Amino acid sequence: MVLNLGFGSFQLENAAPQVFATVKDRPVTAAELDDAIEDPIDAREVFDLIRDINDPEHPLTLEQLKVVAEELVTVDPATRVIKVMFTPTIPHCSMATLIGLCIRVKLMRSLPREFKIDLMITPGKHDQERAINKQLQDKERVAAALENPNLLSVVNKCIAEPEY
Amino acid sequence: MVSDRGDIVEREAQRLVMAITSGATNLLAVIESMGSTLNSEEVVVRKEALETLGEVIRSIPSGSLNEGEVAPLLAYFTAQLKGHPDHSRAAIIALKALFEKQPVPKDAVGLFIERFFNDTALVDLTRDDKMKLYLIFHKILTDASFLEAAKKMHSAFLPGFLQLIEAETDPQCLMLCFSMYQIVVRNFPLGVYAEDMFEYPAAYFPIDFNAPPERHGGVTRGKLQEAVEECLLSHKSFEEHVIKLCLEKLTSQHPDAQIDSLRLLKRAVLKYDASIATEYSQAIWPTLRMLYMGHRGEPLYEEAIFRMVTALGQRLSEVPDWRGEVEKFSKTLWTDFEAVESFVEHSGWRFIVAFGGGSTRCATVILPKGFNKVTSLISDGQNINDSSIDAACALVHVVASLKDGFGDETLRKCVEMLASQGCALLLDQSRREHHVKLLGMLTMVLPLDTAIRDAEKESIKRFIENSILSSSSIPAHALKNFIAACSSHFGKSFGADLCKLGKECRCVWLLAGLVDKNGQNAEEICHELLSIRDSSALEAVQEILLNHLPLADTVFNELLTTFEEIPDDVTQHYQDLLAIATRSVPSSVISTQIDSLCGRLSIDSTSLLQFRVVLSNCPPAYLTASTCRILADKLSSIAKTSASSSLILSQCLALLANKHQEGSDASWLRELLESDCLSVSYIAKGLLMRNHELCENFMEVAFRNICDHNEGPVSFATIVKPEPKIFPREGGCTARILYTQRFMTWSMPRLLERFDTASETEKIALSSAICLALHEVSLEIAEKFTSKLRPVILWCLSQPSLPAEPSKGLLKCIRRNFPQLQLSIHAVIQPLLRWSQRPSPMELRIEAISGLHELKDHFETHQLLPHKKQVLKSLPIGDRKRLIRRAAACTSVTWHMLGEA
Repeated sequence: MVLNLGFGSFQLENAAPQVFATVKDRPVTAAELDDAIEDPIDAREVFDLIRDINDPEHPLTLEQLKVVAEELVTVDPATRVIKVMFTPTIPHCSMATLIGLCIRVKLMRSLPREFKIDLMITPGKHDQERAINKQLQDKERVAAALENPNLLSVVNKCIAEPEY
Repeated sequence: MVSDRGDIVEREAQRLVMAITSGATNLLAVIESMGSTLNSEEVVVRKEALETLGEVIRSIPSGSLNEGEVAPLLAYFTAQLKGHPDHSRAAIIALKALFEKQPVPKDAVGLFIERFFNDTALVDLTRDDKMKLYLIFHKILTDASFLEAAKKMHSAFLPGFLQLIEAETDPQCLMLCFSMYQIVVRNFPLGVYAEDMFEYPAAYFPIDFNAPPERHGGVTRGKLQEAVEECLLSHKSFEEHVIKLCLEKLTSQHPDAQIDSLRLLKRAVLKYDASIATEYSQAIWPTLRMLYMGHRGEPLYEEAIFRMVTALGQRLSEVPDWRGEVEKFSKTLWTDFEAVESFVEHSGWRFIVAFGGGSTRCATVILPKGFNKVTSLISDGQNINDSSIDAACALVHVVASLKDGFGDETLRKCVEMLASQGCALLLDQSRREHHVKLLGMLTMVLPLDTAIRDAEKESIKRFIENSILSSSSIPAHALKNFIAACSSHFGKSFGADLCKLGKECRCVWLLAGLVDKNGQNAEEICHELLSIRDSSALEAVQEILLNHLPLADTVFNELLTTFEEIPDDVTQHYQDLLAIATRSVPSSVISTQIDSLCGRLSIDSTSLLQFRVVLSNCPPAYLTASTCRILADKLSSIAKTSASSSLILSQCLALLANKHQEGSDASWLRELLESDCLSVSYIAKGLLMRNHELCENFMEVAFRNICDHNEGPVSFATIVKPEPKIFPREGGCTARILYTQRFMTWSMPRLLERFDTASETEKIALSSAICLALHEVSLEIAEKFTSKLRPVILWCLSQPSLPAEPSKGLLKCIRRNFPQLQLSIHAVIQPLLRWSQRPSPMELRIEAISGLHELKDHFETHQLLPHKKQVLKSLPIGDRKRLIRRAAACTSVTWHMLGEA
C-alpha cells in the first residue's frame, strides 16, 4: 500500500492563494544563552521547524499560506507527545497528503526520537480529512512513500533548509 | 558570417571617420563614393551601406555637420524607416546620432515628425530599436526649439504620438513614454483627442509589474506607478475620468489596485478644483466605508482611507459654501458612526478625527460631536477602554495641531472638559493601564492655558505623589517627559514643590524631568541624582550633561570624589558618564584630578577603575614622563600586593604606555619589561597602537611568555583583542587601524618557526596562541596567513586535548578559510563531531554543528556518505539547549538528504 499523493494534475488547484504575514523570528533570551539552564521543547520551537517548509505548488512557505500556525501545535512534555495540525488552503486540496508527508519527514529528522508526533488535518478543513489522517499516521505507508525516489525528491525540495 | 560582415562594416566606417577627421575627405564625398549602394534594391547591400553611413555619422565629432547637410540626411534616413526592417534599424541608429550630435534644423524636425507619423510602421521593431526611437522623440520634446516646431502640428500630432507609444510593455521604454506623454499633454491642445489621451495611461493603471529592478535598469513598480499617476493627473480635462477610474478600480478585488486607487484618488481630489470634491464626496464615501469594513486592521488600507478622508475635508472646506458641504459630509459620517459600537469598536472615531484634521473649518464642525461622544463614554465609566482613550488622545492631538485650533470657543470647552476627565482618571488606580496615554493627552493639553485649572493642577500633583509612593508601573521616561512639560508650563513654584518632593523621595524621573531648558537648576539636580547612585540616576545625569556641557566640571569632580564604592550593576553607566565628563572638562581640571588620583591610587578597585577611565579619555599631553614614572611605580607596587586586580592594573599600564611621548624619558617603560605576562602583553598592545619604538621589545617578551607561562597564549592573544572602550579611538589613527595587521605580520612567522622545533607541550601553547589570535582578528587579515598555517591547523585538529578557547579560534578560522586550507574530510569530521558534543562550551558546539552543515559545500556527496550514519547519530538534536537543537535540526535535515533522490 502506498500513499495517495494526488499527482497527475499539472494545473494549479488554487492559482491565487491568499498570502499571510509571517511571525517575527524568535528572539534569543539571556536564559537561552546560559548553558546551565534547560530550554524545554515548546510549540513555538516545533512551529519554527515547519514554518519554512515550501509549498509543493507555490513558491511560498507553509507559514505564508497559513497551512501551519503556532496555535495549531501542542507539546506535552510529560507524555512526550507533539500534536501538529495543518490546514490545507482549500478543502479539496490534492496536495494535502504530500504537505502532511513533508511535515512528518521534517519533524522526524529534526526532533529527538523519544517524541511521538501526532500529525493531522485541522478538523473540518478537508473533504478527505479522515483518509489523509489515517495515511499520515501509518508508519509503514510513510516509510513506503519515502522509498519512492521521485516522491522523496519532491519532499526533500520542500523541506530543504534555508541557510541559517 | 554575420560577425565577419559586421566587422567589415565597422572597419570601413572607422577608416572613413579617420579620413574625415584628418581632413582628407568630407561626409558629402563619402556619400557620393557610396553612391548607388545607399539606394540599392538588394537588401544586404543597402543595409551595409546604411550601417556604414550610420556608423560614420555616429563616430564623427559633434557639430561637424551644418544644418544644410543634416536636413537631406534626415530626410533620407526617415524615408528608409518604411522599408525593410534591417534598413529601418540602421536608419534609426543614424537618426539618433543626428539628433544627439548634429544641428538639426527646426523645419526639418516638423517634416521628420510628419513623415514618420504618416509613413512608418513600427510593427517589426525590436525593443532596442523602439527605445532608440523613443529617445529621438524624447529629445525633440525636451528641446525647446524642436518642441516649438512640433507644436505647429497642433492636435494633429496626437494620433501619431499615441500610435508611437501604444501597447508598449517594456518597463524602461514605458518610463520614457510616460515622460513624453506628460510633455505632450501639457504642450499640445488635446481637442477631440482628450479621451483617447486619457485612455493611454488609464490602460496601465494600476501597474502590474513585480520583476526585480536589476533586470530592468532599476525600474521598479513604484517608479512606474508614480509615472502613470503623473500622466493621469497631467491635464485638467482628465479630472472626472480619473475619479471614475479610481472608483471603478476600488471595487476590484486586487489589493494593489485598491491601495493605488485610494492614493490616486487622494491626489486627484487635492490637485483638481475643490468643486470636484463636492460633486463626488457622496459617491466616494460608501466605497471608502465598504473598503474600511473589509480591511480593518490592515495598515496600508487604513492609512490610505484616512488620508483620503482628510483630503476630502480639506477640499470641502475650500468651496464657497463650505459650511453646507462640510456639515453635509459630517452628517453622513456621523450617521454611520454615532452608535457606541460603531464609534468605539469599529473605530469610527478615526474617521471623525481624520475629517476634522482636514482643516480648522472641518474641525469646528465635526470635532465637538466627537468630543461629546468621548466625554459621555468616559463619564459613563463602563465604556472606558483603550479605544475610547485613543479617541480622546487623537481628538486633542488634532485640535493641538491645527492652526489656531484652541482659538475656537466650542473646541476649547471640549478640550477643557476632556482634560478635567483625564486628570480625574489619573487618580483612579483602577485605570492604571490608561495612564501612559492620558499623560500624553494632558501633555498636549498643557499649552491651552485655561484647560488646566487649579483643581486639575492639584490632581496632577497628587498623581505625581501617588506615582512616587506606589512605585508606579508607568515607564520612567513617560513620567519624566510629563513632569518636564508640567514644570515648564506651570512655572517655578510648581517645579520647586516637586523638586523638594523629588529630593525627599530620591525619585530619579521626577528630578530628571525638572531640569530647566536653560539649565539653571541642572547642577543642583545632577548633585541630587549623583547622590542616588543607581544606574537610572547615572543615565539621567548623562542625558543632562550632554544637553548642558558646562556642567562637566561639577559632574567630573563629583564622580571622582564622592563615589567610594561602585556597585557592579552601576559600573558600566558610571564608566560611560565619567568618560563623557573627562572628555568635556577643561585641561586644568584633568591635571588636578590626575594628581589627586595618583595620591589616592590604592588596591581599592574603585580608584583603579576611575583612574583607568580618566586615562582612557584624557589627551596624552597631560601625562609628563615624571608623572608616568610615578604612576607606573605605584601601579607596579599595587600589582605586587594584589593578584585579583591584575587585569585592570595591566590595562592602566597599557594606557600609560599608550600616552607616553616618544623622545621623553622612557626608562620607566623599559623597567616594565620584567612585569607579569598579562601586563607585558597589555603594554605591548598600548605601544603597538601608537606605533611606539619600544613596542617590539614588549612583543618579544610576550612571545617568550607563550611557552614559559600557563597564561602566556591567552595573554599573547590579548594584544589583538579589540577593546574599544578601554582604548577609545583618538590619536595615532593610522597606527591604531593597522595595528592588528602589524601584529600578525610580526608574530605569525615567528610562531611558525618556533612551532617547527617545539616540544609537544610547547606546540599546544604555540598553536593555542595562534588560534586565539586568529579568533580575534578580522577575516581579511586572517586569510593572508591561513595557507601558511595549514600544518599547525592540521596538528591542532589531531589534538583532542586542545583547550576550548583556542578550539573556537581554530574552528572559526577553518570555517571561513576552508577552500584555502584544502583539508580532507577525515581531518575535519572527527574534531567537528567532538566539538559538537558536551562538555564543549555552547558557542563552540554551535560553531561545530554549523561546520558540519557546511561540509556539503566543500566536499562531494560520495566523500561525505561514509560518515552520514555517524554524523546523524552524533548530532545533538535532543540537547537541553534550544539554540543547539535548532542548529542540529538544520544540519540533520541536510545530512539526511545526502545521497537521497
